[in-house]
Amino acid sequence: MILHIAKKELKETGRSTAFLWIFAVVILLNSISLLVSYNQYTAKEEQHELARMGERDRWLGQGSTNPHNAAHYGTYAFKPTFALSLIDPGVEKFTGVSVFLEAHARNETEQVAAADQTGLSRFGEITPDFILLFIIPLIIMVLSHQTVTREKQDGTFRLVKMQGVSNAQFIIGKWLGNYLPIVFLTTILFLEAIIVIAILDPTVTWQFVVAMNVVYLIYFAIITSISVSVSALSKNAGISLVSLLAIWIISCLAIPKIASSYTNSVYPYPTRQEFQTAVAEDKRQGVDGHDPWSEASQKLAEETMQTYQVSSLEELPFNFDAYRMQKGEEHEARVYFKHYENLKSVYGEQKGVYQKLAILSPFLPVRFLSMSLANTDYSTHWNFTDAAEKHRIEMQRILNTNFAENSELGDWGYQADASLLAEIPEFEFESPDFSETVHSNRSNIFILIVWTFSSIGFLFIASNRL
Amino acid sequence: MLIQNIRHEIRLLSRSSWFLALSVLFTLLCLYAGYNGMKLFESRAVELEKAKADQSALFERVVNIAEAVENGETPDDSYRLSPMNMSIATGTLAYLQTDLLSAVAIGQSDLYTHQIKVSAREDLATLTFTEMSNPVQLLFGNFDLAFVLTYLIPLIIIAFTYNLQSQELESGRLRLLASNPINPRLWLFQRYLTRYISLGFILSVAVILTLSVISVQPSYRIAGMLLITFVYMVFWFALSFVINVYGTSSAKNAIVLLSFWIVLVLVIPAVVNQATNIIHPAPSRVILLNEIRETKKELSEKQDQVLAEYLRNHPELVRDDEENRFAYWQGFFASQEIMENQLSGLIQEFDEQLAEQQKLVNTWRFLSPSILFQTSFTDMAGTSTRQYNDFKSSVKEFTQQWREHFLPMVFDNRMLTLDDLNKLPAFEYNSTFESKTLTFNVLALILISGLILMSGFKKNHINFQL
Repeated sequence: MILHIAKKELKETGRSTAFLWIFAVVILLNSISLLVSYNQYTAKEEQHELARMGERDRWLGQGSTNPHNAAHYGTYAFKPTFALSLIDPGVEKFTGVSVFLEAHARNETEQVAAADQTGLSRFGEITPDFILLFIIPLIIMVLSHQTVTREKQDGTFRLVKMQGVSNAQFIIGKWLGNYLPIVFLTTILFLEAIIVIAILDPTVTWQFVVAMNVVYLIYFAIITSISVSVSALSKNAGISLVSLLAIWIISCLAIPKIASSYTNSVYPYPTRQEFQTAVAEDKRQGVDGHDPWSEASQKLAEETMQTYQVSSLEELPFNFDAYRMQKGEEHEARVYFKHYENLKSVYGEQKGVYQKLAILSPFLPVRFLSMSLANTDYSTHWNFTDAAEKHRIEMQRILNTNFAENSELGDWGYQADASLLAEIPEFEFESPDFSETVHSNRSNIFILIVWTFSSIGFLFIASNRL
Repeated sequence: MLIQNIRHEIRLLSRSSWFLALSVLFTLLCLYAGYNGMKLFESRAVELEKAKADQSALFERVVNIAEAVENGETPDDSYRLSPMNMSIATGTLAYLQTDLLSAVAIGQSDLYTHQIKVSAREDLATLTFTEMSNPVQLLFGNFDLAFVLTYLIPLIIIAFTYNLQSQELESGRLRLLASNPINPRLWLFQRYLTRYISLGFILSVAVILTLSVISVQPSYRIAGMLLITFVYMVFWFALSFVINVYGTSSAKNAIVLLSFWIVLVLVIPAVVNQATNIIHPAPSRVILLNEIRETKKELSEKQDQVLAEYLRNHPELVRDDEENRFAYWQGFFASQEIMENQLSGLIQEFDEQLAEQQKLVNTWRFLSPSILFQTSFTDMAGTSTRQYNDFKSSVKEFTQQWREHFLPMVFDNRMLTLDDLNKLPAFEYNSTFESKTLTFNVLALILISGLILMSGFKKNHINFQL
């Protein structure tokens, strides 16, 4: 009986030219957005490759040079692009794509794309994730807002009941009839995306794509359950539609914005200026590689002489200038670590608030899971900047060690062999694997499961009140 | 008859618990949105004051040293009077004065920085103007008054007007009404007018209450903001009017109006944004970076290698006894200027493309009342992209001025005196507000609304069939 009801629902949707048009428009929008994203992605890849290779060539092309001079010359670390960003570009346009790695400083990422766009960029873009997160839930609501109310208004519900159909069977049939067209639509959208991704990057881990598809299907199942329940509980189609639209606005637009405003007021980030001033203040408290006269440098000199049982810095078996540079780097790295850990803890608190508020909206866990699976979330960005910093610290260590071991105090004219530069490996960034991604999203997955069961519960409550 | 109708309408509204509840809800939403904006404004004001105080302390320190030198003393830190130390390490602060109206529309104020340290060493092309923030917050946006008015006001209007004629048709009262000596269009128009005035009154109370809670003083900008809000409301009332005139059932009217809302508020702004990025894409910052690095490398190869490298790493070791004590910096500033000249075309391209994007947005803004409303509203609040771009340009111009101010001293090989410190250039910037754009947008909205209303009045035949 459930299948009969679902079949009737499917037949009606199939016959409705309005819905066929909507489906066609959504598929067309998705195709266009994929095409645009594909072009942008390939152009970006090309530019990154060019800049990455140029940077490596320039680094190696310094030839024989003073190691500390090379450290100041620095190099850039570029954030790789991920094929799944085609489906969900996440926070990419707000994070920047490269970091300058140099001596003494951990730099922030540069080239924030949103800063090169007009104010309309805050309205969003027609990307597959926009269609999946905002448009399809709306289609579900429009599709199913009168699925039960119409039966009640037309009196056909009584006729169906006379056939011996239970309320639960009726509701499940309705749910299935409204959900299956969406599954069909989602499958087409994902198939399109998969074809484009396969062309771009055949090595992509398909688990991520499948997981993303599953996440969205669960999201749509939740929205369908809510829509059918509201339709069952509403007196007429108008009330049902207005109620559903209110739910959509609250969960997809209002709650994310409220969450943002709330987290920002409770756990604010420092301004760039404030952050840099605090870092500079802490840096002043320790060894500065370029300041041999500071108290910390003098203390380091005395301690080093004591350790090596020598009476002057010239007697040390290494170049103390370079040694001081390295100690300065280590102090600075600790300062940066402390301040970035503080920043991360603020981010952790903010994340906690978002997760708590996800209880109020299924949009939030899906939004976070989707970005995470596409490697375009804020955590991936943190991983990238941390990896870049680790690379910078190692780079300074190699350069300063060479300087210290192969020159004498005051020998600033020392030129290391060009091969030293090749000892610094190229920066590589490994994104987390599938199990790590799942692990870091435990909370989002849990909340999504809670939402799934709650919406099913809601469906059964609605069926009892029919 | 007309007065009787208006009285009847007012009576209906005053007895509608929905209307009263929604009015209270709307007022609360406005207050909450104002509170969010206020929190952000307050924290920004505190941070700016702190940054100003820090900068003053830095400057005072240099003044004290200069006074000591004037008194014939030789302080240890007299190196701070060098033109490089003053122009780079001490620097100065360029800031955008905090504006209380930014609390009303957060706009781009969460993306861009409001204070920036000006230093002669900065590359103008890579100056960072974005603020440190959680990109998720930027992605979601804020719950401010601009959001309430842009997104929610149209929905409230739809909720209160979607069935003004269709309900009468469905209940059969429209036939009765048509038998009276009254123009049915005029009758419907009166209903809309009464509701417009009522909602306008509630909106005024809510907005004025919010503004007074956040202590905003009345100004022509507030008048402009209220004006564009009232005109924006006119558009949605006019649209609802015409849908009622041409529509039949309440449910259909609701769906059509909601579809308009989705297309005009969500889809078109996103499509316009995407189209501007496709038609006038910003040049690649990664490629610019590549060019900057390549040019720097070429220029650095042309300089006196040993001296430049040595002094670049160790400006603190530069002695005061030779003519070339600032030789590195002379070379540095010269290189910087050559580099900026060489890359000016590429750097200019960013501004040009952004200007082209803005031009396109200005042309296409008529496609969506939300774009017309949002651009004027944020401009009046001082948080539009245009204003932040003006600020950026001013800072870049000033940075150049700041650098040029010190160049003669660098080339004269002289330290700064107390007199020099009194003659330093100061950054000044005042936001401008485009009343012309506001007038244009207001007129455009009035014209569009007028045309919509006229098309409603043009329909002579009344459909009595559902």
